[in-house]
Amino acid sequence: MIEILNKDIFEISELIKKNTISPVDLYNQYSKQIHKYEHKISSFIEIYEDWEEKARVAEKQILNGDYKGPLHGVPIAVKDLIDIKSKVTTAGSKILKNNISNEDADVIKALESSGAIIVGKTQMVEFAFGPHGINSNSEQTKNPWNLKFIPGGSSSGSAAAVASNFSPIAIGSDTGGSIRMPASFCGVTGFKPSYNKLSTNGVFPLSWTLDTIGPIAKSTRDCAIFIQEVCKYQKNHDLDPFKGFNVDMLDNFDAMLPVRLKVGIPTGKYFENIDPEINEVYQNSINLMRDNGAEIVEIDLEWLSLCRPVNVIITMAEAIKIHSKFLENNYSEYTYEVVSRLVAGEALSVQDYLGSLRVMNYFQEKIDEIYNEINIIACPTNPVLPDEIENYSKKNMSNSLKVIGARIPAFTSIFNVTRQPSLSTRAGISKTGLPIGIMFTGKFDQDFGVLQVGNWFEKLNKDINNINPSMN
Amino acid sequence: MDNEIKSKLNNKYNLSSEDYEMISARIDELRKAIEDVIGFEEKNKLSNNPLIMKNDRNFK
Repeated sequence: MIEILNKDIFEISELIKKNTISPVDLYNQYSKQIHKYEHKISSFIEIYEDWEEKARVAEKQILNGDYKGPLHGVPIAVKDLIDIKSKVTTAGSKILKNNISNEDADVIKALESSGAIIVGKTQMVEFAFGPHGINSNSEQTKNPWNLKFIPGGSSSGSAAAVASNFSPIAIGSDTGGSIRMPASFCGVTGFKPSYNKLSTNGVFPLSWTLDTIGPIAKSTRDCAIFIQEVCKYQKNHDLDPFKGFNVDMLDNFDAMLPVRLKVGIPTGKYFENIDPEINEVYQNSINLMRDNGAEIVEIDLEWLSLCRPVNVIITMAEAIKIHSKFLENNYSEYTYEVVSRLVAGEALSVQDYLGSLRVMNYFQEKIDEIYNEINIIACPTNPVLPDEIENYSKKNMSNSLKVIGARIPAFTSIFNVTRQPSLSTRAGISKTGLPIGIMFTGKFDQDFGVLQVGNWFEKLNKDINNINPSMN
Repeated sequence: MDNEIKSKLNNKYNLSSEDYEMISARIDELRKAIEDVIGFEEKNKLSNNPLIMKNDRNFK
């Protein structure tokens, strides 16, 4: 039997296509891994019992010559704010514990059409409102690289499940960095596409102006496969879903890179306020790209720091609108770590909200100009390393949020405001054995340019990507 | 936290002292964010329609 746990979908799908392995083999290996380690990691809320049966159906279809594409028979875990017909969607909250969905979300419909197998729902921060990955409502998800540490959030279970080889890919959502932050802390690849490239119909909202869904996977090329397949099958899109996409891209990553890639390195106090170990890994990554032909261009992006407060205001304003009735009726059922964020939104005025939207559009206009000089922005995903779960107990929460928690989304949240495609992938490992991520961000709608660069960087950095988490 | 907000929250929610402390910290953080963002909007005399975004796309 071929060992597939350390392979990505790009490799696995070739083996499936050639009938070397089958979806049932995938079920056997991933479910065995879950059985062995899930009790340590707590990445799932629910694992569906029909996984094996669906794997057998997919196996039969493929043997009969009905091969649908690279996700056919591949397991995928789903963040528990995405509706799956007849299944419960809790959004990580007790309040929605009996919330059975009437219909599949658009992304689930697309994935079902692609032949992917939904294996279950993953843990998350309650209502996706927090960067740390803490949820006091449920079994706490651990960082597979060190079980004492936070996994990051809010797509905590999705990132931890992929890092633990429970599933080769998972879906997350990202309003201020909730795909990229946990991907970085858990040492996997997370991609936030351009705003509304993927439909969020059927996804429980945090902020409809900023919310984006996307993949968390073992490699950039797997994120590209996810985007390709979902765009192929998603319905009701009012623009060409393949805009900016070349169908040959997956076979021609290298050929499609610019002759000389220009990588923009943000300068300014805001971007330089990072942990020294993260800075060391970041500088090594810059050198690696320079040594392999990229032109490194320093650009002063201090002005982008204002996107962080814009993100905070818009998210809080929209979240309090969404949660107003729930809060009045179910206040005591919210977690301590999330309820303060929601209720604080009561202090916002209409002027604050509309002013922030106006500034948001200003930054979307202004950031486009810098892409005349560069192809991509590269910066650390998170400015800080993950800290210990214990620091987020109710007793310590207030202090931790001020010291570390508030800094985690400093960079990621900017690119929700500008709505650009942004990818986090592993750049290095800290002295304490925790992964450190680098984030690549491209111009709006140039998603595949970002995926090309991420794929190129992963190939350059492949020794780092061969290291596995300790699961201890 | 100013009295108007304090009164609004007390009327709507049954806040514990711990909740109150956390919410106050959050509101302080938010006040600073508002000051920065609205200050920027005024300084740059932005007058665009806030409901129209450059980078937008809608699903039917």
